[in-house]
Amino acid sequence: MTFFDNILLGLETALSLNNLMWCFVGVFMGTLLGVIPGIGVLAAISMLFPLTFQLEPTAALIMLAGIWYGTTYGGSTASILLNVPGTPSSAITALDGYPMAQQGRAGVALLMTTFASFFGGSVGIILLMGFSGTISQMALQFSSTEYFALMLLGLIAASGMSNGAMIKGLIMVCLGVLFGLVGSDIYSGARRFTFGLVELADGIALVALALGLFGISEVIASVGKISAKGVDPDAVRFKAMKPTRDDMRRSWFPMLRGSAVGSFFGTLPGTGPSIAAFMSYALERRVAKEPERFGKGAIEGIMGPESANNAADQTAFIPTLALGIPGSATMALMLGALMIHGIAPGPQLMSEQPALFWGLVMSFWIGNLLLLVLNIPLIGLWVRLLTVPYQWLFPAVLMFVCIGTYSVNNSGFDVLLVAFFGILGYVLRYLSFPAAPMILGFVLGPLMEEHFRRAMLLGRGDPMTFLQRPISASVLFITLCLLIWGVYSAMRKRSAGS
Amino acid sequence: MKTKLFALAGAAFIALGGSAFAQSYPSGNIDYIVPYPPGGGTDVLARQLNDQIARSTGWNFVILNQPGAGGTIGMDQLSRADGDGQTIGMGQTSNLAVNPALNPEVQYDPLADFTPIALVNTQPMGIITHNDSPFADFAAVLEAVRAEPGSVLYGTPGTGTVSHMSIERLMAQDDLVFEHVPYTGIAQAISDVMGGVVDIYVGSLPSVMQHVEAGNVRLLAVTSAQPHPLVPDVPTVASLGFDGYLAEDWKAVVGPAGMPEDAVAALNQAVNDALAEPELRAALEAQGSVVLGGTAEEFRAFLADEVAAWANVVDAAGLR
Repeated sequence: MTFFDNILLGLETALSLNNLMWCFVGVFMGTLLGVIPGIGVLAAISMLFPLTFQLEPTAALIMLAGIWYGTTYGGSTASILLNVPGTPSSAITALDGYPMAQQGRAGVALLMTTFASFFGGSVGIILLMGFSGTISQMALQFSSTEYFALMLLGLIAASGMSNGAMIKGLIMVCLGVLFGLVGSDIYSGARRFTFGLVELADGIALVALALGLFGISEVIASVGKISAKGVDPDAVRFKAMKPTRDDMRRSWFPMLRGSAVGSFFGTLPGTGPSIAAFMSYALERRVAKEPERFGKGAIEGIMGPESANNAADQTAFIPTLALGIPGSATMALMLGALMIHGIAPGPQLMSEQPALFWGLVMSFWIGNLLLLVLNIPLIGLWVRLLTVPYQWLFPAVLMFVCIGTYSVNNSGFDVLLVAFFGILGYVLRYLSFPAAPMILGFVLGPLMEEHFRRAMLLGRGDPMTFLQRPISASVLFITLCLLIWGVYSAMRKRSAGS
Repeated sequence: MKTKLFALAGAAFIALGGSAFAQSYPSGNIDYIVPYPPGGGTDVLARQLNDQIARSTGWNFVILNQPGAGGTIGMDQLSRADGDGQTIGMGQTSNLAVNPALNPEVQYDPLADFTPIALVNTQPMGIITHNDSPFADFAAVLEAVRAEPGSVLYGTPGTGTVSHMSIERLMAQDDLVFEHVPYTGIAQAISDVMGGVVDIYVGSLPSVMQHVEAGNVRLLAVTSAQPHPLVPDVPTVASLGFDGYLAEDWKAVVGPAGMPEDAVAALNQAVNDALAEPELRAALEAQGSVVLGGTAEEFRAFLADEVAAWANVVDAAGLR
């Protein structure tokens, strides 16, 4: 099949009325939750993805992708209007977006964010279409040895995700791996760390872990911290959205540069949208003629990062879909959702289920378009949502969390698990341990174990098998360098501090 | 006017009472436990079968998916339900015969805690190898294993699955040693078989057929007692000197212990009638199934044989 056939196949799948509807539902629900201050992208995704479990896989994936864009976009809305970013990547949007809102230009900021997201997303999608095939062709040669090495690299890189505190990141990755090991040993069938509870025989439910860590703990942490601020719905009337000619002129290059930066960082394991957005902001500041405008409502300061994080969101799908190795916590959640639907992402996915793969890719585009269509007229609605008192909003969110968790396996035990991970998540947050590397460890840990032990079996018990195969040997070498560099820079920082 | 109404109501009451008397089973909805998630093989089969039964009898089934622990959580729940016939479910080789022997944490006794109702269908395992493999047929694989025990690596979709147990059964019958490489899904496994990383792979016949038909791998043998209608030329493992060898993934309708006989009879009849419908039969056969049916007594005897056979395999392999 040619490239063009693939695109047609994808469009045919994505544009079926059923899939289009679920895409719309996903985008709508995602934006709805994403707008709620204090609910970050990860929390919103984990709350919504139980909704997809009753759908057939293609529709479910398309809805998941819709949820994802929706939450990202909703997060930007909250940071621009209220300065309460749900994620690090939208924190950067708040730097210049909130000042714009204060200057009465919230409408312009929201509209331009939508365009920047669409533009960056499109660039990412084109790269995704172009490169996935090549990478998955290459990966068909991979065996468990290579997968183990790549996953180890991903985990080590991800532990550096948390703004430099690599040790804390590593600890969280390990904790995630440990939680991931609960359940039946896939080689002997023996049950590990289940405390005799038959409910834990299949391991800890991903939904329970994710909802507890991100949903419940964020709600607890937000209690009393965020007060409903007065938002003037008139500031975002349709008329007030029209950007000036100057805004347009200033936006083009930041969007292009942001997309390039984002596409690059998206593919690297452990970096993802937040770092892409940071980098893009730093770059815009450096190339700007008047850097002092930044932080005071410079439109470049939202256009660059917003296109960067959306481009990164898309290119992050390349390793996730083509190799089955997620590079970020969000991707780990998406991968987990795929596996719950019985789909094993990896090089075989493209050749065996082309309709699903290309349908998903095309729905990324349609999802982005829907966002554009949905958000321009609905911004007013989202703004009103921000004025709902939190004493109503948060209990409702908690209730949906419980219903969502219960519905996955019809299991009351999972609801108790959510409570447990909610408390754990809050304690971790209090001690400023990042939760995102933990979820990556949770998803990747069992996969790594599976590949490690299979590689050992196939290598007849000789660990040298990891060094004899050139791809795994070089990946392991890079991992080692990364680890040494991380430890070295942490030590240097400490000695500089003392 | 009033008397007329009373008469009408009375007539309706008698009519209702009469029909309830003629058909004492079921009294209301039938809860139907599927011990796997929605959309899986067992779930799809249960829904196809129940839709067919519902069409001809008007009974209303409420499917309860209760996944977990290889289907044993749902079966455990079924074994504890009231034996009045209002709660039944779908069991299969793994959760009724293999797991109770394999896993000490399974609480139920497959023979004492359930009422067999009817067998539905069965699927054999298919044994495949890559196109350039040195093994021309399954006899060659056996020869290699006899010459050098442990020299053949076999992949399966997981530990404790019928695929895994099928080779354990072979090993128990003739002191052979194969090396097991479990996978968690078929995608990576097929890629490893095609690349020659593992020598053979054992999976349910429908799951391997698409790869056989695409010409990516060769089918060496099937694990049923008779050659399978989809691939009549492929030999059975039993025909290669393993008398009585059988490893199949069968599915059946079961209820909790102590179900009333009339309910069992009504359900068994309904299942057999549904399986006689050409449409459902064709759908099942297209998926690689052999349709079974038969009386509840036949199923009871079959279940006892299977439970004993797999317990033997587990003991011989020391897997418990």
